[in-house]
Amino acid sequence: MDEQPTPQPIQPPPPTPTPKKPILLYSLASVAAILAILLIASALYNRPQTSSDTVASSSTPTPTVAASATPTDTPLLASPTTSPSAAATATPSTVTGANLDQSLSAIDADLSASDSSTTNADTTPADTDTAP
Amino acid sequence: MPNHTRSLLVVLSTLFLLGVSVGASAAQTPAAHLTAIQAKGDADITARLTSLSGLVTNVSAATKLSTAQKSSLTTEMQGETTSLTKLKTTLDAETTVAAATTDFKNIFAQHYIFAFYQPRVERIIAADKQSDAATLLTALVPKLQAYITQAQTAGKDVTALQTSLTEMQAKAAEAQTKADGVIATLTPLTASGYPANKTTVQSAGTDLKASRADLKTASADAHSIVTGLRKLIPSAQ
Repeated sequence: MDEQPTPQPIQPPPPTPTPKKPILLYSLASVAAILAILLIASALYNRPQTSSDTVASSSTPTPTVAASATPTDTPLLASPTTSPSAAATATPSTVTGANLDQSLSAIDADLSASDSSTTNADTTPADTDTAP
Repeated sequence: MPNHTRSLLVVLSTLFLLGVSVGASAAQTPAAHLTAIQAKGDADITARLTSLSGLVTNVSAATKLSTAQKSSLTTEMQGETTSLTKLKTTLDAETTVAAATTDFKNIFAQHYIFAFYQPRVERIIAADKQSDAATLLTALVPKLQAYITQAQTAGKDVTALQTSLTEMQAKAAEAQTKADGVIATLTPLTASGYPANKTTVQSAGTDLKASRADLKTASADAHSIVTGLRKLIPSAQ
């Protein structure tokens, strides 16, 4: 009898190799994503600052915030020392009629007081030590 | 009684009564004499205390005296005030004419208020005022010069004003020197040096009069310059 050949087991089909097209797509997508990120980052880095940045940075004391307070304080502090009257008193750069009159009055008052004291010195009562 | 006898009695009685009256006034009782000495002494002490008080007030108001000079003068006069006040208490408590007389004489022998303090300190105060006036006049010079220059720049004739200003400046400087000299001379003197230092006090009075004359000229110059400037420069009005 003829021996029946053992049927060969059916070989599973070799796995279908992964098509190369999706891999390429993934790579392209990744590169595109990276480029996009770089573009966005570059755009963010180069774009001009806006007020929102200042507000955001104000959470920590920054020179911008500190400087913003200075103009408010300066007039309050500076005004008393730079008032015209105070400056005129310290260093009179010009002569006014009031100053002249005041000076002349003060001179006259001094001379009058001097005359009074001189009179008192010259008219001192005599010391008479004769007991009654 | 005959009339002539009656008249003689009336005359004699009148003369007797007049004699008693005159005798009583001439022969003051010791108690009355003591009271009189005490009253006169109290009045003299009060007059000196009043003088000292005024001098202390004027010294404290002086502007050219140094703090040390003011303190020294004030201390002197406060010492005299304390001593005179104590003497008054002693005098008022005396019970004999002899003791009261001794106290009375001490008002003058131990306290030269009118003989030394008043002439000296009043002249120091006068010198202080004169020195202050001289300082004010000197301080006025640059102000007046600025106005004169302004008028000159505007084409005004300022010859007379400039001459007055030069004189004013010179007289003020001379007065300042004399007044400050009086202060420097009189301040160190003490009552213990009296009467030897009397001539120094009197000589200071002569210097003060010379200083006052300089200031009179300088002050008149200042007034005339201001008046003249106000005619030349309306803004100086």
